[in-house]
Amino acid sequence: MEVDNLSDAELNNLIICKKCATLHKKIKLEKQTKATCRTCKSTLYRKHLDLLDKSLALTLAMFIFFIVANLFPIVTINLQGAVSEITLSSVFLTMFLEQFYFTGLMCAFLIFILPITFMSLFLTLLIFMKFRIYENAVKKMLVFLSSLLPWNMVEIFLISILVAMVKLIGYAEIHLGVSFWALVGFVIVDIYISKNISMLALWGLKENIYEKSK
Amino acid sequence: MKNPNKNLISCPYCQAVNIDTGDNTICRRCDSKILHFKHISFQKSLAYLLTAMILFIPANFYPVLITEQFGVQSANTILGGIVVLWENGSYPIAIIILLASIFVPVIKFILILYLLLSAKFKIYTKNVDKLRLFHITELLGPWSMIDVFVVSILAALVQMTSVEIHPGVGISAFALMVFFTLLSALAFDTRLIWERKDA
Repeated sequence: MEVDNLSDAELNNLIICKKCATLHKKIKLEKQTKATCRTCKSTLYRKHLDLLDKSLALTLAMFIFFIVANLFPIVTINLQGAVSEITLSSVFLTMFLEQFYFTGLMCAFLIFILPITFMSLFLTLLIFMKFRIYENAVKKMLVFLSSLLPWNMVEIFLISILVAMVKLIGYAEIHLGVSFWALVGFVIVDIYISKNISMLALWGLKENIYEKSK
Repeated sequence: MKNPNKNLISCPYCQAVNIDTGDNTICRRCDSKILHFKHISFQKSLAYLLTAMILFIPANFYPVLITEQFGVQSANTILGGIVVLWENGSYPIAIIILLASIFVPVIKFILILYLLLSAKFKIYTKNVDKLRLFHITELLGPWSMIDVFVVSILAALVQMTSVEIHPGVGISAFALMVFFTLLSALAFDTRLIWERKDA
């Protein structure tokens, strides 16, 4: 196959597997099925039902979970009558108070600033797509969104809470707060989104939507 | 050793298939520059990796956690903390921390170093396997953050009159180390795997 003079339409019909770099031709899928790579069996793309509405609903759920996670204490401990609790923000604020500015900044970025940016960005661009407005802004947002993905670490923070609690077992009484369960909900939705909704699908959706309105 | 897909590459931002025209290909769908400056990618990735490796030393020798109980201070390094957990019988957690804080960074150092070296010298491994190794480093990377989070959580939580936990200098070095290994993996251009120049 000569590749140097393929048209955009022909290129659009090709896909390269992310995991093993095998080149594939796209095929049409039935509803709710997925295409997998012929050499490494990893998912290439899926056929979604109502991708836009589904993503909107999931992002809204994430937002609600995150707000609840910020309002209440995550964990309360009782050490011989002395009670202490943490909230999401107190975790990184303490590091600033202890003058560990870099670590504090990193924690703040990873568990607070990044999730908020991710959700607001995702929500805004989905709403823009829903109303079929601002194509260029949506394009820029999608690019920015994909550069945020490698820094998503809320699930690791959740595991860390559990590890920290195990370290305290035997010393103090531990109560998991409302926010802990909100955080669990947040992580579940987050994992679902990253497993099922790929950037590729979002780009396809974007092209479909703005093509039709032209 | 050429790219098996001839001159086709997929955009790292939107996965659209593009024709590779050299060092400054601009994606036809999302307008972002696709991995320009390949030669700089190698240098950048190597520089970040070396920084991370150097930081790994203080991260292990300085205490990460300082416990102050009734005025008596005791400091724990990462390995010390693992030993304490093991002695207290929390074997699974001890193993998780050992894997996340010691093994993951070391494995990442070795893998990225190997991938970088094999981009420069003749080391015979299938390119597809190398790509798989790169994806493993990407997956493993964030897990070393566990220790940083645990220390922040404990420092925020245990602030009583009788017992206080403070972060130690080691955790700054550790956090920086994780940060630089992540940057190193991000800077690594997968095209380095395909396009080794035969010297």
